[in-house]
Amino acid sequence: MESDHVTTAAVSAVEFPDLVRRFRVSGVPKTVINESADILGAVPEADFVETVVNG
Amino acid sequence: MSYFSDEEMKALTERLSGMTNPVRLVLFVQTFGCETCATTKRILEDLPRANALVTLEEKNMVLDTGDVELFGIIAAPGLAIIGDRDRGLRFYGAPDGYELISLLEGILLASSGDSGLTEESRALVATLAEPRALQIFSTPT
Repeated sequence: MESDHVTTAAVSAVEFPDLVRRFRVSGVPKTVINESADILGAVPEADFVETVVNG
Repeated sequence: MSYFSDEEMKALTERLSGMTNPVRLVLFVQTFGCETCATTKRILEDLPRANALVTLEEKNMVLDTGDVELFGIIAAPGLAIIGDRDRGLRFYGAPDGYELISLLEGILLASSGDSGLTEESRALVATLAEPRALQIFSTPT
């Protein structure tokens, strides 16, 4: 919401097993960034934003 | 007929009473190969009843290809949550169980137009020059 460069999709892991397999979702919540990097679990906001912005 | 009981509708109305600005929900469904599209539609139809600031539009994943492309929808049921403008909020799957709480949170965010991030986080996000597509996987329980 703070940047027009960022889109956010919430995905139900139960309903989309093909996406779960594709992104190797082994636990939730898991955040996949640009279909490559990821963040597993709930992490502090500062760490989350840092990973999203700087990888 | 309402998906939610009177008691649940009361809770829903209470939760959405924090809305300040209109939110447009654009739902993408398909007739075949979508087990939860009908349920999702029933759940979402209760939201404008809970708060008149919510509007719901229905699109067909197969027929409305222009809209699928416009909103970048990748699966059905797929939902675009739009406040003062499209800030890229999407929701895939039936919003039941804990997923409903996430959806309501998304609606409130879109309504306020405020991410709620700290000043430090906002400043860092503002430095982004390239696209970031986040997909957050969760479960209803």
